[in-house]
Amino acid sequence: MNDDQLKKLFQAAREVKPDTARAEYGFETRLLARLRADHEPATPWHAVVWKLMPMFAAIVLALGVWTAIEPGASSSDLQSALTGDRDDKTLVSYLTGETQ
Amino acid sequence: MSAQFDESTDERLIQSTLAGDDEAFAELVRRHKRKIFGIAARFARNDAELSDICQEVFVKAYQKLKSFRGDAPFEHWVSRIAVHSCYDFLRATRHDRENVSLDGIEIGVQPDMSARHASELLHWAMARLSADERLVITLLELEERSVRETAELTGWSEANVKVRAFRARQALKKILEASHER
Repeated sequence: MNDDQLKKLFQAAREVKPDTARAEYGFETRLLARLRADHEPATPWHAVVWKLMPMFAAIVLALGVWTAIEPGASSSDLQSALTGDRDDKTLVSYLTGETQ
Repeated sequence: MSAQFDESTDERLIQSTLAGDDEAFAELVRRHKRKIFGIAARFARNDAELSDICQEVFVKAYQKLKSFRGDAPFEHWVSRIAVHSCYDFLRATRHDRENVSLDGIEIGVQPDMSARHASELLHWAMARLSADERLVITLLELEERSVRETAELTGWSEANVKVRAFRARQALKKILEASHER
């Protein structure tokens, strides 16, 4: 390829003007929206915590409901602990001959 | 919306922008966007990229507006920002551009080649140049800017522009010759 061929190629490419009308449409509006968004200060941590309050409340409520409708497991554990303690005392009384 | 700024000079709009009037900046953008889109369109591959590059240009212009001293027209100042943004874009996307296929593009330089085909072939070949080679060829050959203008826009010395342009033309010839042999 020689310089003349390259020049002709450049000349032909120059004749094709890129059409930018579509990308230009509404450009200022989009740009201003971005600039305004950049201006907005970052959200402080206490505002984030406040926004998460409903979620925390829902978690506490769910835990409350769950403990209320599942009483069997925890009370049976307590009962077995109490019963176990009484069995030990009965055994000690039997072995030592002491009455309760 | 822009009627209130019709008679304002760029300098007055800049002052208003610095005083916090974003509508004044929107008017500045409205006045100069055609030029900036024209520069960026030589490098972008689609409307989304074009819009992204131009947004970067005007966001940088907005952020650096305080440093605009007014010793050159605003259009020159923002054009320089545009050229630097395009250069950054080329460097960031070089590997993507190299993967552009030659399928559907008429290979080799024919005498009766249409402008559209010539443009496609040239863009395909230019995608294989380095960022600075592509930038210098675009400004000198496609935008028809002088060596001095190119030096001002890029921040390179005039001698550097000439050397880079020479190397870029050699590289472009090699790429086009290789495409012709395929």
